Amino acid sequence: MTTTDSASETPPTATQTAIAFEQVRKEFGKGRDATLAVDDVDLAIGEREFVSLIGPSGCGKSTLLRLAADLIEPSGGSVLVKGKSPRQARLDRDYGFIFQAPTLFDWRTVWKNVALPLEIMRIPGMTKQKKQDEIERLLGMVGLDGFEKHRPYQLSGGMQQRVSLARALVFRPSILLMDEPFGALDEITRDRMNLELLRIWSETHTTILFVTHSIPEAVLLSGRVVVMTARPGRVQSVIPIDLPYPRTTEVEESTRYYELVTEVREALGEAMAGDA
Amino acid sequence: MSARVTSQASPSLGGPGRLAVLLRSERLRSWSARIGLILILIALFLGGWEFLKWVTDSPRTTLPHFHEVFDYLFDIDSQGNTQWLAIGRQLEVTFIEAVTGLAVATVAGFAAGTLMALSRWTGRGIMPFVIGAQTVPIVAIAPALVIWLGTGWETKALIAGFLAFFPIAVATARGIGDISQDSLDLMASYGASPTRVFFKLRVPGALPYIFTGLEVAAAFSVIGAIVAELPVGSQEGIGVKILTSQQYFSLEPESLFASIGGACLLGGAMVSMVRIVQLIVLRGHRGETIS
Repeated sequence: MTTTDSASETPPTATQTAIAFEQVRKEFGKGRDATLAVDDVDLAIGEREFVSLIGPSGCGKSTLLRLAADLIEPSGGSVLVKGKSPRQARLDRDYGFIFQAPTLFDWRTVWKNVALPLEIMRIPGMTKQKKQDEIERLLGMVGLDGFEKHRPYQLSGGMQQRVSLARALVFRPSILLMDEPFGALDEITRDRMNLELLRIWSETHTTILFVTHSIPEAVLLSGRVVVMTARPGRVQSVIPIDLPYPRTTEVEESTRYYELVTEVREALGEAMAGDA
Repeated sequence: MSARVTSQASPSLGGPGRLAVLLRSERLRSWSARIGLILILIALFLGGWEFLKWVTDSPRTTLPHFHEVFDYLFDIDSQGNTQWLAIGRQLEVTFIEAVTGLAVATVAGFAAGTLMALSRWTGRGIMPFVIGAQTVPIVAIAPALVIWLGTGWETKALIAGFLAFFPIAVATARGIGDISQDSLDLMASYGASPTRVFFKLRVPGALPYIFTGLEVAAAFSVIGAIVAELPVGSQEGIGVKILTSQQYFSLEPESLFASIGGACLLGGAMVSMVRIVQLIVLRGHRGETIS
């Protein structure tokens, strides 16, 4: 594992660690058929940090995300979320998970989809009125005012993913785990969603761990980009993105942005070469 | 941001937008097309009936004219009632048997299907019985059941339910089990209990499957009820009417055809009933609204 030494120039603004992977290893299957998906991963994500995982397909990016979410368990090493076991963090509703597919329930309206987590969780002090205000506020925030009574299949892909985002934010988790959330969207919608995500991130002070296939997306969004190798997934390098926030379309036109995109692309090239 | 949608329907959902008007006219068109199709099918059926009679040169005692069957409905029987009323009374008996059977089968089939989908071991234990329920020749065991349980309507309801059970159980098992991993992971990420996952995700997700099974089961329940009425000893029901009509066929052939027609209508009515419930329950499910 090689970590770029420039990490010291831009220390994470956070003081505490939100997610810590230590010597994490994950095997799928047993015996001879076992495949090593992730091996020897050490990674710490600070509170309020925005970190992207990027790498060739099959590099275990999603596996890391699912380990943090306690949707799967590590074969070795340890994962800590807010200093707790992922299971405890899951039961404490510390994170919101956003899938590549919006995963909305067709039989529910947009409003009821966003309300779903609140129906399942018993959040102290959450009155009916507060619930309504919160859902209304979030639908406004993701730009879906007036679509409360629509069904998911009546919306475009981008709008569906916004509903999924509002649903993840409604119980105010301090961490967002996002598994290629905009991967299925067209580039124009994706650009807009990226900027909206940045705005939401700065408004809600959440920690975001973001899996993506897109280099420009990773550079535009993140404070750090983690480049991974494939089979087994290991951390190839961690590239700090020293672009100023708030990031707008102007940032995307700056020279530094292009330099960083190139840097990530080269690191990714090395990761792929190691694979072959 | 959403020009595609906003240009078509006002998001305020207030008065009827242009989209709503369009939908209504489309719905109208589909309805008139459907009625047109039904009329064509009826014409073909009647044409086929009379053509068959003409080609085979059948006498009334083999195949009466359709209008003779129709006229028969308005004849007066020995009790002084019109025949259609007499047939209607028998249909009512069969209907109650079939509906009761369907209701019992719905509860039992849902429970069995759920177990098959969710519990590996219990599911495996149940499977042979579910398959068995389908392979048992119901016509063969119906007389035995009548001997054990009597000739009351409950016995017939039980046999109707027996036939209706299988499609419901299989459809439920399929629907309850066929939930996307993402949806299950989503519920897990909320720390949802298995009960919550069941009622908030699995059951609503399975409803379209279950209703497909119910439609088949509704038709089966009528068949089951009629078959159950055939063994000697039954006094009421359209099955009995069909049997006696068959015995007096050479005297009054119209009676058999009228009874058979009634049985077909009953089956159709049962299926339509399930469809109407489906439209109400699945309001808003994809494909259930014109959108």
